[in-house]
Amino acid sequence: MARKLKIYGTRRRGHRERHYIEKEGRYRYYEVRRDVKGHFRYKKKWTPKKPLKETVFTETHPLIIHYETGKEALEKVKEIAREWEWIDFEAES
Amino acid sequence: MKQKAKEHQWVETGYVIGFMTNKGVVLDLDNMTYRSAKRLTVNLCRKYKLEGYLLIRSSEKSYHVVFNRYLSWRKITEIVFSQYEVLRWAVMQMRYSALTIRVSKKNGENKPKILLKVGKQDKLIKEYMEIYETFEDY
Repeated sequence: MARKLKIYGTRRRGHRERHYIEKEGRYRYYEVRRDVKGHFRYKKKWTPKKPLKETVFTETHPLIIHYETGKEALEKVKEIAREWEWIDFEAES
Repeated sequence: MKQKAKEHQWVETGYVIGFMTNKGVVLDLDNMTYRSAKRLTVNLCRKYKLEGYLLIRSSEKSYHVVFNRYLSWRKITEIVFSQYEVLRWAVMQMRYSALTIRVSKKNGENKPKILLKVGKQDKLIKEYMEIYETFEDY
């Protein structure tokens, strides 16, 4: 097994955007993820499943990184940590 | 009088980096004194001939242990589940089929600090130390 590292915390998965659907002639809400520069990454159907805020969606499951050397691990961690927006929150318990 | 257990501290700011392995035994000992953590570590090391160990303080009254010897996953689970003190943590680890201990700060504080190095350090401890030193500033 390749060596593994785990990165965990609360990260922003996406936010709610209103998109016009030409076929249906109306607006629908989508969950959209954009990178740090604001470039579009993906969109998926929006569901009101108890997000942290109504317009922010979060993810907590850990990201797993495979590496061979320490240097490679450091580079991968930096890259992945930069890719996601890590958000602060107060735990209830 | 029995002391009250310390409340679990969640990751509330930023992210945390964890060292994952399914090749050897690592333990997360919470709510434990230094003496009892060391006693448990020494006993395990002797009983299963784990070659050497690293005792790390992760926060006040919390310790991490890394054993040197490579073992099969079957043996690892046998050792981990034989210890009542780490049972709850071990159950959570089974979700990813690997054991994980933190190597970076949590909420900007409590960087794990190495307290003791005993015995051989050429296998799992070497892997851990590589990551520990790489992420020294984290």
